[in-house]
Amino acid sequence: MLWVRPPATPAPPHAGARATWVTPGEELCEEVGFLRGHGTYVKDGMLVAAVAGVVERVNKLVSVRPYNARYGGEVGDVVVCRVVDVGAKRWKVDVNARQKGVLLLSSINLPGGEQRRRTAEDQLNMRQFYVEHDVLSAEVQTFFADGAMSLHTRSLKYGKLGCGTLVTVAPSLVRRAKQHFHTFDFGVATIFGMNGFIWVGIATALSPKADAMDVGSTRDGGIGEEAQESDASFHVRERTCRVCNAIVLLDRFFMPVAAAPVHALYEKSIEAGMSPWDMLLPENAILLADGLRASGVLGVRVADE
Amino acid sequence: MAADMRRDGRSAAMLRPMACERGVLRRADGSARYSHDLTSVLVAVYGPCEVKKRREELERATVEVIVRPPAGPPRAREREMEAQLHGLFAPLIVGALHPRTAISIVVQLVDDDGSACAAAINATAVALMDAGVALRAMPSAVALALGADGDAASALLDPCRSEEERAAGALTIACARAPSAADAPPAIALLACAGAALEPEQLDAHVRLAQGSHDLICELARRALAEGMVV
Repeated sequence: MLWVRPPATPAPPHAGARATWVTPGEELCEEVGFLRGHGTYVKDGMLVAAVAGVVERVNKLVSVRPYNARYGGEVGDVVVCRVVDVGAKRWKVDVNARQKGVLLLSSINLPGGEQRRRTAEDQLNMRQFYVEHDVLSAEVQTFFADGAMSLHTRSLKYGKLGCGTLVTVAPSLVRRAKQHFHTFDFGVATIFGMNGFIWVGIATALSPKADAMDVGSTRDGGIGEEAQESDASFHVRERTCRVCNAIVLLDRFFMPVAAAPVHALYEKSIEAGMSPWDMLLPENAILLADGLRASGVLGVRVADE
Repeated sequence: MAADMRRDGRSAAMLRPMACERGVLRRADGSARYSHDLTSVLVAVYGPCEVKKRREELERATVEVIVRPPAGPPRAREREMEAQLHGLFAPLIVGALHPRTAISIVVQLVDDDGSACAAAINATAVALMDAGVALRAMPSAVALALGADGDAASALLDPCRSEEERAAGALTIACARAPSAADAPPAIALLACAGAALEPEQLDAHVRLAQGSHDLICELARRALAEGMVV
């Protein structure tokens, strides 16, 4: 498993960057005729920004999206998380939020699709399911009273992820969509976790495995576990690397992270003849980002003044 | 100490070169490092998070401030800074959004070469914005070293440590722009004066010096938030 870190070179400001940023105390518009969204407050009949970030206008809703807010989470979100601790009848996972998420033993799929009460033996065998540093996909089920997230993997599409790479982006860049599990036609699968953790891996192992239904198998549902090293040929790895770097670029330029922009950046980088690692050089990065903006793939209007 | 150059070549109303960096600490919800040349302050913001029952407020978030000196245990000076920071930021943070939670501001003075309180305020503002905590306005602060006569002509803006020690008094002024007053000078958010008696006109002159610096500091903070590290 690789960790991909954003490059050390700072993101260059693009034309219009100044126009989209607001800081607390800046007036946005009149209150009449507009709805107040997150990150704003009302003063003297005017909507004022309360956080530092980008202004978003969706019809009549005006909100300010802060660049670096921790992931808050909502029930039903698909998240990618990393196991941090194995506790009594629960796993503690890192979900990029203010507190660690909790995956209860009663919230995972038992092998064979059984629905039964968890026994003491299940509790002793917790490490057969997930241990520290495992990456898994899950869904937010509920919140505890102190604000901690409770996750579940009660569907075969959720579970341990293997043979792939985890890329971290700002959580605010991942938008809710119909599908967070996406397979590109060139053999790379991605999971866009709402918490800003994006998993990029090999598509061949994406379908739920038949042996997840075997009695006696101690594995939860999941993808990628069965993919062997031999499946990851050089070309597949290179494509995975290119997709990862496309996501890193989208994060660097504060653009929405979704399947369409990633695919567009992937295609553009191949057209321009760049290798995956050259994509992150500042001059190439600006080229790709400008090309993406010009192509209109980014459907969301991001604060054109 | 009149119109001559200061020891480091500045005039009386010049700021030192400043640097601002955000997102310095990975585990904190928000963090920032702000430097007035050699004075450097590191601030971490945690929150909104759980609060102790006895400090819980039913209708707003509890703002806690902790200031630590570069070396040794915190003393009266740090306690005073905590009170000043609390007095400035508790009303500025929109606490009503997060009742029964705590927002903790931890200030570590890394190097103190004068104007430490002003640097702490600037760093805290950037750290709060980095954490995405809702603020009513963006404050900035400068310090002034006062001459014996309290006159604005003999005041030194953004003093270094030696100038602070030799001064008769010290003034820390924080300004913030009210939303509806985009063109007017920023309003005063914090005024802390020690060691000198000032006439109202003299105070006005000092305040104007601070207001003149507001836009510069805010622009620096804005760029730091947008780009990462700016010097």
